[in-house]
Amino acid sequence: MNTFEQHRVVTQYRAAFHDMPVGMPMDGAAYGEYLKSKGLGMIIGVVASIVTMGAALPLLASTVLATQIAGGIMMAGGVMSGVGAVTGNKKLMKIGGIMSLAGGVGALASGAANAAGAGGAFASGSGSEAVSTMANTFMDSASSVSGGLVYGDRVAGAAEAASAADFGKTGLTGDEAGIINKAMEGAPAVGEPISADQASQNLIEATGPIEGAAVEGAGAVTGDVTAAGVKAPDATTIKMASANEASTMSDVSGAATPADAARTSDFTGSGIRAPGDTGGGIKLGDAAGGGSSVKPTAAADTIFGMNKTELMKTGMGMLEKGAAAAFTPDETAKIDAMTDYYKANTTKLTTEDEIAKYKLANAKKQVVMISANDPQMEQKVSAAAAAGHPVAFIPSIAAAGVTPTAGGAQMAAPQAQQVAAQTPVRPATYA
Amino acid sequence: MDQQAPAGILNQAAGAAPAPAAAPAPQGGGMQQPNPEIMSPIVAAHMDELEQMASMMDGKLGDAYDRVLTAGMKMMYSADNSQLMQDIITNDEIPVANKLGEGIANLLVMMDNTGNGTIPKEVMVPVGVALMFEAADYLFEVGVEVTEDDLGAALELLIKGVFVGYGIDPAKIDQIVDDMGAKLGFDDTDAGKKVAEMPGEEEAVTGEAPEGEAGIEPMDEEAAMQQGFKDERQRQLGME
Repeated sequence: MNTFEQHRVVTQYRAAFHDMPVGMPMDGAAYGEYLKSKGLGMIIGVVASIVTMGAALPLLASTVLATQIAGGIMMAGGVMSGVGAVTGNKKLMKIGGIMSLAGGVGALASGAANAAGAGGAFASGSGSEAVSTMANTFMDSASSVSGGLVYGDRVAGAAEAASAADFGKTGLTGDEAGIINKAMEGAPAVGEPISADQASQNLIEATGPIEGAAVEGAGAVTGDVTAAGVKAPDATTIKMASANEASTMSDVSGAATPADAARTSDFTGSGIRAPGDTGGGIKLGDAAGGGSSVKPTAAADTIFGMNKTELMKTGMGMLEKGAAAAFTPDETAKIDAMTDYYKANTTKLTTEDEIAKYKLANAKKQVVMISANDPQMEQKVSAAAAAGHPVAFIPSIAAAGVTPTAGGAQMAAPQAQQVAAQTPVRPATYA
Repeated sequence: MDQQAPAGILNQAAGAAPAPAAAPAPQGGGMQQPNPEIMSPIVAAHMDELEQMASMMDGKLGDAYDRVLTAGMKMMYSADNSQLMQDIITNDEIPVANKLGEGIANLLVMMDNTGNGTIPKEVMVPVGVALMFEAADYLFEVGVEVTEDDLGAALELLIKGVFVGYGIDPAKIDQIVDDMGAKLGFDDTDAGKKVAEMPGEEEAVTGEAPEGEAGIEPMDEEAAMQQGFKDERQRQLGME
């Protein structure tokens, strides 16, 4: 807890206890006394005084923090395995063994752990690397066991995002959107039709078993999943578009994420309907429909058999699948082409840059051109050398110059410009 | 590892003479003078593992380990805390495992709070383990019996206490460890097979209070605060 966090906590406590009879009128209540009298026994066990000092302060929990502490457990794993082996403490043995296994440092065994065949000792100086190795496994498992405190920050953030999403336009709650996301799992690429079998299967998987319900019209329709909307989470009759209303999936390439696409889709069109709606399609809740019967879960805190945590996981999984689905072959080819384009541009810019550098480096260079016939050649060469200018010599040309060829009988007389082209032009001479 | 670590069990390791099998019992309910010449055989049995743990920490990790361990020793043996320590040690109502595990866990968290959270969290448990064995040896020196079972339970409490101190649910950590074990195929390893062959349950007897009463469940603190606050408000408003 840093100074600012401490100040915030102190302010919070003072505000909470400002009207209590104990404490300074201007400084607030003596929250310490309150904690001691009320909360001490609750906070920690029997080592009261030291425990209270320690336990009350750090309030922040995060995966990173847990991983760091777990790194320490891994390094102490040898001791834990050793003590566990001697005392028969399975928990210590297991933690020590698993942590050392995760850190890849459990090969060297010694001491009590070795005697017990438990392993868990470590190589000297391997701590940092082992912690890094262990952290990967730990984070992975923390993700698998998410939905709890260790991943609380991420889950809380996702939950906030879900609750803040604008589902009002579609009449959806975050949970319902999660169902739709689940229903879209395994959906074909954008632009391809989805079969009713697939859609209904996805939907059933998403919503969980519903007792006494039947799927009607399965196999007969090509539903528009992205245009489908769930109007009632507890709907027992859900209908999808009939075959003659078949449509293809909407182009969601412009949407930032599949979740955005789901939120912004037109859920008022043909699709899944609430009881009472008369649209055609899959009808759940009518056993006479001939479809497979499914059973609902009755828990009040679940929707279609999935609790909010599961729905959240489903939504996060859908995000990943949506991102993967965006990379269809066409998209891949496009990206490859764009990559080549940018590579070429990079080469071009690099070349231009080199040219510019060359020009800049030679911008003030002056080459002295001296005629080979120049009677003052030696002096000029010396002067140029003294000035630091490179020297170039102009070769001497005979007095007669260049005589244009006649070109033979087959050729017409040389044109004036041909003669001019063959006539050497002396460059300027700098001295 | 530098040489700044204070004299303690970690520096006594190999050369320590075997201690008497049983330490003299304290007289009159008070503490006897500690005898630094003796060393707990239970602690000595784990010195190899402690040394390996310490040697495993390299570079900055090792430096941090040394510094934090030194600070912990100073706090444990400081004159300011001596009365508190004595009260805890001589309190027969507190199980030895709790004295060691919870006491060290809270010492660590308190130190980190004092340092505004600057202690690298990777060294918290290793330092805690070292301090715990140091404390166990000290208890032996002053005549308090510490068994292997006490050490095992204290280790559990230490780790649990550190997590609780940082607001992390130990139950989640257990789940994560189980998940890691499953993914890594721990059960198929020699150590895993040894664990499977061990009798009894995983949970050790730690002397913890029943759930919801005086346990160290992390959520109890805030719940107790809120409930206490409501009760106090109701009392003040004359609603009770």
